[in-house]
Amino acid sequence: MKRLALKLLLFLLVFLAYDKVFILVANRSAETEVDRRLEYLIEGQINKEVVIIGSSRGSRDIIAGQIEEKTGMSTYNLCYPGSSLEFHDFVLQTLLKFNEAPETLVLIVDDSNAFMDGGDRILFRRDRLYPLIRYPYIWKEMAARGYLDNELASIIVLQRMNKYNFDLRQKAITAIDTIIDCGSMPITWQDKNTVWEYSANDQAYPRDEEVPEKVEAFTNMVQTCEQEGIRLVIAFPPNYKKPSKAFQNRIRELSGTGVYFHHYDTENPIYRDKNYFFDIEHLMQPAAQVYTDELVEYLETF
Amino acid sequence: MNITSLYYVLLSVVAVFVYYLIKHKYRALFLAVLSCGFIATYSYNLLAYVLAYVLINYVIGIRLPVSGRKKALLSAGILINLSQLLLLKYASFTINPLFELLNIQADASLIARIIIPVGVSFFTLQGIGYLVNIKMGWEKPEKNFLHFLLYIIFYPRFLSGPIDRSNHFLPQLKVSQSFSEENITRGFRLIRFGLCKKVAIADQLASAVNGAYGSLETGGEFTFWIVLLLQPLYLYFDFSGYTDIAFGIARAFGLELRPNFNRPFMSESMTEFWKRFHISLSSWFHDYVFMRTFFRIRKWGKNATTYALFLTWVLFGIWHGAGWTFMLLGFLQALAVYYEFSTKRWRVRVFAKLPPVFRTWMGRIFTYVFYATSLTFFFAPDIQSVIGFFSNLTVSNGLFPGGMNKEIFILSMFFAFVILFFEVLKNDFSGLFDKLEARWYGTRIAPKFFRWALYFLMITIVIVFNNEVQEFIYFQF
Repeated sequence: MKRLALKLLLFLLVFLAYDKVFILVANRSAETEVDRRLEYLIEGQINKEVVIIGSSRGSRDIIAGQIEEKTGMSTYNLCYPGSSLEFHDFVLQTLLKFNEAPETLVLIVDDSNAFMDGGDRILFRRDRLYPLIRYPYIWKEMAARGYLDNELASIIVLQRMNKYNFDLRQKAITAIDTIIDCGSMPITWQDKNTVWEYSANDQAYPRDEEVPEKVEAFTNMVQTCEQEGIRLVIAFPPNYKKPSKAFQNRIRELSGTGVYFHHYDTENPIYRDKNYFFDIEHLMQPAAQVYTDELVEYLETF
Repeated sequence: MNITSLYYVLLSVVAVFVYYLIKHKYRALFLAVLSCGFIATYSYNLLAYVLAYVLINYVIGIRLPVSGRKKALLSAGILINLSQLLLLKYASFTINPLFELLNIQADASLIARIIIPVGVSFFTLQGIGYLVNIKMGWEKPEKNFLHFLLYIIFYPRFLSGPIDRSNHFLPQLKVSQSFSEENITRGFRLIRFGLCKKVAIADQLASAVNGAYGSLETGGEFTFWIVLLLQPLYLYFDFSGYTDIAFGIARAFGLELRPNFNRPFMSESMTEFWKRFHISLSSWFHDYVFMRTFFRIRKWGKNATTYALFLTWVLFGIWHGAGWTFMLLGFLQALAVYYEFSTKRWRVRVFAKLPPVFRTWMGRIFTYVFYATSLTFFFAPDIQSVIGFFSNLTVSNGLFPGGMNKEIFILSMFFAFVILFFEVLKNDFSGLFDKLEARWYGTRIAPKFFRWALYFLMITIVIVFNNEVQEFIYFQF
C-alpha cells in the first residue's frame, strides 16, 4: 500500500508541475481576443467621463465615439451582447475597482425582459471571462459566483480553464461582433430571419416571473452609483414594438430618487420603419446615430 | 455531489486507502457512512427516506422465510416497493389525474419535490429483486443490516446503477478484501476512462442532441438525420462513462458490480443489442418480469411468449419515466425483438448466402439505425416533439450540428471513433487486441512514459471540459 501511495504522490507532484505549463496557454488566451475591453478594465485603462453599460441594445444602438465627439466628454461603451444584469453589475464593480469612477453611467435596459430568465440568450457572459483567467481577480470572481471551485482553482491552473482557452488562434472581427475603438458594436446589415411585425399592443408585465438575482443586481448598481457619486442615467432604447409602460414603471419603482431616465423619441418615424432595424430589438448604424444624438442632447442638459 | 467533479474522485481515492487501513469488520460501516454522506449531499430528506425504505425491505426479507403467508408477504413487499416508486416518479402521470377524477384537491408530486427521489428507480428494482430471491429460496435473507443497507445505497452505483443482484453483491461483503495494487490501479484507470467518455464525448454531443430538440419549430442550425445518428453515441458514452466510474470505484474497494455494457454497437440484432446494452436493467426485466410472466401463462403456448415479451418491454419503457414516449420506446423494442424472434428461421436461410463480413456489418448497421430511430422516443419530451423531429429529418444545415463548435465536434467524434475502433478490434480481432494490450501495459520504459503522457492528457481533458459539465442522462430515472 505504501508503494502505491508513493506512486500516486509522485504522479500528483509530476501532474502539478505539468499543470503549471498551462499558465502559458492562459496568458496567450487573452491576447488572441478581438474584444479586449474587460482586460482594459482590469488594467485600469478605462478612465472615462461617460461609460455605457448594457447588453446588445447598448452595444449596437449607442456609438460612444459620437457622444465623445459631440459632448467633448470622454466616453466608452462597455455593453456586451447577450449579457444579463448580473453581468452589467459585474462590469460596473470591475470598472470601479480598477479605474476612476465615471461622472455619468448610462445603463441601457432591455425592454420588458431585463428581470426575466433569459435562457441561453441572456447570460452572465462567462465566455468573456475565460480568456482572462490569468487575472486572479477574474477566476476568483468566477469562483465566488459558483462557476469554479475556489480551492481547486487556487492549486490547479487547469481548473480555471475552459476548452475555449485552448483555441489559440487569433480571433477576427465577425459580421456580428463589429467592435470599434470606442467599444461600440454598430451593425450595418439586416437579419434575414426576422419576422417583422410591429406590436402596438400594451404588454402586461408579469412581475411574478422576475428573477430575484436580476432585481438584486439592478438595485446593487443603483446603490453603487449613489455611493460613488455617479450620475446614473437609465436609457430606454427603441424596439420595433410599442414600449412597455409597465416595465418602465417597474424600473422607476426600483430606482428610487436620484436616478435620471432617458426615453427615445417615440414620435420619430424611423423607429417605426423596419428598414432602420437589424431585427426587432436592435437598430442598424444610421438609426443608431440618430438615437445616439438624442442621448447626446440629453446628456448635454446636465 | 457531481460525480465528475475532482472532489468526488479525490474523495474516493482517499476513501480507498482508508478502507484498506481499517479492519474488515468496520469496512461495511465505513462504506455505509460514506454512502449516506453522499446521499445527504443531494437531500437529507432523501437520506431519511432511503433509510426507511431499506429498513422496511430488510424486515420483510427477514420475515419472508419464516412467515406462514409467504406469498402474501411478498406481494405486500412488492406493492410497497411499487407504490413508493409510483408516488415518487409517476405521481403527475397516474395519481394526480386520479385525484382530479375524484375531485380531490391535492398534488401527489409534492412529495417527490420534498424528497428529491434520486436513484429511486434503480434501488426499487434491487429491493424487489431481493425479496423475490428470498421468496423463491434462491438466497437466504441478509441478517446484517449494514450489509443490506450497503446493497441498496452503495454510493458509486446509487444514482444510476448498474442494478445489482443481492446474491451477487452481498456475498462479496462477507469476504475480507486484501489490498491489491492491481485492483486499485485498474479501478483508477476505469474512473479516468469513464470521466473522459462523459466529459470529452457525451457532454459535447449533448449540445447537438438537446439543441435539436429545442429547435424543432424553427429547425435551427441542425441537420436532423445527423442528430438522429448521434443519439446512440451520446447515450452510450454518457451512460457507459458513468458505469465505468462506478465500476472503477467499486473495483478499487475490491468489489465487483454487475456488467452493464458489452460493446453494444457490435450487436447484429436488437435481441443481441439488449444483451449488450444496459445489461443490468434488461436482464433484470428478463429474469423478474419476462420469465415470471411467461412461467405463469406458459400454457398459452406461443402466445405466452408474445404476451410476456410485449408486457416486459412496455414496462421496461415505462420504467424510464411517465409518458407515452417511454411506453412507445418499450413497444418499439418489443416489436423489433418479436420480429427477430418470429422470422429467425427464414432470415438465417436467406442471409446464409451472403458473405459473413457483409452479413455482420449489415446487421450492425441496421441495429444501430433502428436503435437511433427509436431513441427519438427517449429524448423527445412528448409525442408532438417526436413528430416534429421526424418531420425535420429532411432539414439540412451542413455536417456540424448547430450550437457546437466545429473543432470540438470533430475532436469529440475522433475520441468516440477511437474507442469504437478498439471495441471492433476487441470484438472481431480479440487476439490482436490482447497482444496490443499486453504491449501497452508492458513494463518497458517507453510504454510507461506514453501511458503517463496519455493519463495526463486524459486528466487535462476531464478538468478542462468539466467546466461545462452536463447532468448524466440516467440520473433522471
